[in-house]
Amino acid sequence: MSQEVEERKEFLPILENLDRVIHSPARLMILTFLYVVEEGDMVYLHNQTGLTWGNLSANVQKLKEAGYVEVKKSFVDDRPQTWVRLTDEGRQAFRDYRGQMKGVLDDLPD
Amino acid sequence: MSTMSDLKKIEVNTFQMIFLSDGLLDIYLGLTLIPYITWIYSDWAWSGILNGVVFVLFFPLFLYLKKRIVAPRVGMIKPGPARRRKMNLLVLATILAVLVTIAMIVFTGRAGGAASRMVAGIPMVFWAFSLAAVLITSIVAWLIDWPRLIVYGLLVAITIPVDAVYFLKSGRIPLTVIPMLVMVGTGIYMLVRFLRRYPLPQMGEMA
Repeated sequence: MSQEVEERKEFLPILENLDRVIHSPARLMILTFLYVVEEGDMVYLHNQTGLTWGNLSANVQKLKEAGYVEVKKSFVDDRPQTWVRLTDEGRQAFRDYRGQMKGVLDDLPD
Repeated sequence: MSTMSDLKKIEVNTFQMIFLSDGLLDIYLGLTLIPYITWIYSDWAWSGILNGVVFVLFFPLFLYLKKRIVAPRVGMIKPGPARRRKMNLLVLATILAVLVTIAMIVFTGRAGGAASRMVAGIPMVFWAFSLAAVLITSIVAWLIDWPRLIVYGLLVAITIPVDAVYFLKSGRIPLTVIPMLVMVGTGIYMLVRFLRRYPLPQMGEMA
């Protein structure tokens, strides 16, 4: 087996074990913008990610089901306000995913 | 993978978008120069009171507009630990700035003291105020990632000694009006741009 094939085989387990919940552009964006703050509301996430409200809501729900985010709903001046924050588990999962991706992309042969 | 490697940049951009992109802080800072301008302009004894009025009136108005105009458009965040540490330092810097200003006022009050000594034809105290303007705005600009504040600080620092020589109690409009207009003008421009860029989301579309 050539060295190139050997190297490719080394990456496979990493790529196969990538967290599928995070490994979607929409959810990755949501996690990224939540990672840099303590918590943010849905308007913030909508503006930053550019996702439609429906898409944003569906992906936040998936992250919530995975235990990566906590969602708090309230009303302020008769307007709905939904706060989203990364759980410790979500923060760690994002760090792990970031490390895995960096490892794979940095070590790719030119 | 810029989203992966530029987390710090994303944090700074987020902070700037939420807290600085609307121009309200520019307008507020510009308006806080009004009492100083009136003091330079004439012997008007009410400048000190005006200072208090500006703070009491404009600061709650600033907070109100932030809540009513900015938050519904770009949302709200609670900053992360690194930003909170910087904000704590900002509080310390503000307290220090107030103490330095009070010390300068006390220093100025001592007639015949070092404050009345002239440097290049200008009383030393005005140089001190000028230097303080540059230092304080630079520190705050660094702490809150707001480079524009350095330009404002420099403009104020330049006009203070010039006003001291040519405009002090002269009944003519002092040069400090220029930084005030620059700040308020920039703020209004940014506010208009902000309102165009971030329209109010409709209740029905929100999650």
